[in-house]
Amino acid sequence: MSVIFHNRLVSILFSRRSSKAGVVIILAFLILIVVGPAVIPYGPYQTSNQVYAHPSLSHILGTDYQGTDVLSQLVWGAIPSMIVGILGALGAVLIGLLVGSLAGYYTRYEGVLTGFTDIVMIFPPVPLMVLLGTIRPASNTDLIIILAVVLWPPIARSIRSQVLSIREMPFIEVAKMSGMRDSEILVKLVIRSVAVIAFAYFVLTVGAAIILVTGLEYIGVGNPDIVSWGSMIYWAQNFGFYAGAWWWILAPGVAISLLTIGFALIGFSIEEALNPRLRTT
Amino acid sequence: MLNLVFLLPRLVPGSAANVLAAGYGGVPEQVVASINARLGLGQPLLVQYVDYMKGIFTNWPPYFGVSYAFYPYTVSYLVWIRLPFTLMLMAASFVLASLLSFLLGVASALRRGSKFEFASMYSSIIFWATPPFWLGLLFAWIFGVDLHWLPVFGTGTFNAGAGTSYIASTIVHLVLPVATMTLATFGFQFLVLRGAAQQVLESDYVIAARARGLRNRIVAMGYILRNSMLPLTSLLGYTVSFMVSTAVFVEFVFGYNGVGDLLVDGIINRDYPILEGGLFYVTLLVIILSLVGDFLLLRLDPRLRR
Amino acid sequence: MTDLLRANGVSVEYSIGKVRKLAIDKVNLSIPSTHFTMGLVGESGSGKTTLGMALLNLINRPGKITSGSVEYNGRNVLSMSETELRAYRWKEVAMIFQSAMNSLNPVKRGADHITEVIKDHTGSSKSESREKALKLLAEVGIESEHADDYPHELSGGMRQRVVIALALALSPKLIIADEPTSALDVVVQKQILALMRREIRERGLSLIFITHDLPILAGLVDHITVMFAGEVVEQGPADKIFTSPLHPYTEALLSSLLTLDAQNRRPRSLQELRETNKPIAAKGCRYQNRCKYVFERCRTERPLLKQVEGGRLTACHKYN
Repeated sequence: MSVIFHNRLVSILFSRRSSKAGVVIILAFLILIVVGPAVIPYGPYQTSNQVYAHPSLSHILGTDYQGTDVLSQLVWGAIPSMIVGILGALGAVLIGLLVGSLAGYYTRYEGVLTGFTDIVMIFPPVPLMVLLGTIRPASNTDLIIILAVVLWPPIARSIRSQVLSIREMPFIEVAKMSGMRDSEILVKLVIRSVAVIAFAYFVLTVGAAIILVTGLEYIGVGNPDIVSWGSMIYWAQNFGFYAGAWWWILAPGVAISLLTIGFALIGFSIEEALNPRLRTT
Repeated sequence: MLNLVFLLPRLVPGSAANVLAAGYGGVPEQVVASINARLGLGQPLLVQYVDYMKGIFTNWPPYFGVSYAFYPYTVSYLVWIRLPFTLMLMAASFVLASLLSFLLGVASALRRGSKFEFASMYSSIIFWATPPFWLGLLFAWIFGVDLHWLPVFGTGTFNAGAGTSYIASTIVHLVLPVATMTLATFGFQFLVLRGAAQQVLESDYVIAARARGLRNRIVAMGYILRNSMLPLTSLLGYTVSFMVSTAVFVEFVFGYNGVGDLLVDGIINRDYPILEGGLFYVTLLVIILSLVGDFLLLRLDPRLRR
Repeated sequence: MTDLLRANGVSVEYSIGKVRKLAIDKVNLSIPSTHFTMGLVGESGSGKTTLGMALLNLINRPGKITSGSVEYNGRNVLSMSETELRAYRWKEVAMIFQSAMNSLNPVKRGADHITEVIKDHTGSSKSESREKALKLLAEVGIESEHADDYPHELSGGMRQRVVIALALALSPKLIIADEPTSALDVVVQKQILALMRREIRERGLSLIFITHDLPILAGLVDHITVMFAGEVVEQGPADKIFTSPLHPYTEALLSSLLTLDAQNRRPRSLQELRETNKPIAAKGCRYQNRCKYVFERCRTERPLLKQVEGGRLTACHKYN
């Protein structure tokens, strides 16, 4: 099963220009994260007396107000943001897949599940996240859970509409007539059919998750002592803004945007590939 | 669905009770003692809870307690002062973003496969992917610090008094935040619209309309736009929710005195009453606006009317 | 004397991804004048709808017209500019689509569709256009109380009436009707057909009636064109085609009926079903795999459309 999924996915990913670009971006970041700490001579918490240094050969992205190298902060700070984002999105997709398939397949539960989904969807995430995050200093796990809880409804909605149309297809009828139990059909056939598009949703959700996570870090939810992209922006705004340290302000933001664009490109190209009407070429 | 929706604000105090119980870790000892005395927090939890609910539902504006940091102002007062600013910000951004996404959405749907469509598609992805708080910072930098064109922080000089100069300064202070939020919201709306427009374009009634030799503009407005708007309208609740969250970030970046900024201050100061009250108001706002959205949807799509 | 409408060697290709399918292959069709009613019959996939769309230059992605021309009074429709097309479409040639529900704008009221067309094409005022629209609707049997209903509020038959009124709105010379009754139940079908027959006769219009259901055409049209697998295989006067079909496919179509009354049609046997699922040959005559007269020549040489008797054409080696 996973082999077919894999092949299809790979063939889609590498046939389109936009997704290739996306993959390249993500790989670049991964390499940066893995190789970076070994290669960059500075640590992310290491202060020096070269404060506000412009980008140069020794500090490729310059330094901040404490003389800490910006690039190393970027590389080290990527990890919490990325990991939390990916895992959070994973949680969201799992929940969304579950709720969406159940809602789409079992008409009995559809009304309740859909209503529930709509409610959670309308509930503004940030104030809630903020509230939850301040009950106690939020650990990364907390952030992951919060993300999953906040991000699953759109996925559930999309999966539900997919399942609704799959339900009418002949091969489901055939499966039913050959005696397969509903739960079996659901797991073996339905979920397989939506696997690839669910992956697209996953990828897009990772993008949204990263933006949310960094936003929260920026505001101060989560652990403010760890270097992360969001916190970098916070410090940059407060200490770099009037000092004219444009490199410090630019770096984390560009990184976040670029990474999210990478995920977005992949996600949208998969969606386009599966739904030919969306094609522009 | 409406029934379930009204349950929501009642859920909020539930979490608030927990917060009250667990939240003392962040506040200095002496303050806790004095506040306890003043607010009667030493009493059993159930009593507190009942008092709390009473405060919310029997007063107008609902009483959420006094803010810790802005003592002795009540939470409701603080929220009400700032509400108009936040509403202005959201309204302006929403209108601009909708206009932008409608225009570009229909225009690019008509010019399928062209560079125009390509450009609008990818620029909306870029705007969707850029964290709004950072974008705001960037704007503030370019326009405020570097070019000195626009003021960066705050909502306006309050001591300019009422009248045109106050209005002018408010508007001027609105420009950057609105620009930021508009672009962020546009990114999201355009993507939804585009998906819908693609589907509409392929539909039979559009082909039939073309077959009737109707002018392009009529087809674009009355058929394509009109029908593509529907999914977007049904997502109005979600859009508003999205905008509210974005507003929190944007307000904070610009130091804009809106409700979102208040919330952030609440976090920084561990000011629980503000957070609870703020959450309630925000949720209420979203619920009201999404009801508006549902209502709009009913008016726009005759198929939903019974 | 130029024909009213003429298709010359029109081919349309559909390409989805790497798959390319030739929907119609160098098809000729001619409607010489007004008062000329023609039925276009074939099974699904025969290309009849595609041909209809091509006549109005409505073929879009993923389809493409790859050869031929469509001439209306001598002018090539396929090379018309947008403005010329606007003048051509609906004013000269109108189309009734297969599923009325799908060809009406779901957020627009019934009468408004007609009002809109009249207003946009003739520049009449809104109230004038609406008056005309209401008159037309009354003519096709929709009373004023239903005139402003939305498409989903109307029954299938009523929707089809709206679509018919819509087609007549600008008094075109030719109407192309693509399976207008296929989605309707039999009783309503009869009503709609009667309505169409009446309007066509009274206004002296020409008609191309596309269908897969041969018996409907009886008493409705004067001429019939039969299509199979993207080609015209037979053409001629309707009565001759019903009484003495030339092409084996036409024969097969007719023999699957006991009488010409649609209600008495017997269900196809499994044998017949199996036969119709045989593939369409790539080389030689396209019908060879289902033809009971097939012989050597059919396998190798594609039969061309030739005149057999006066005014009757067919593409079959039996008559060469």
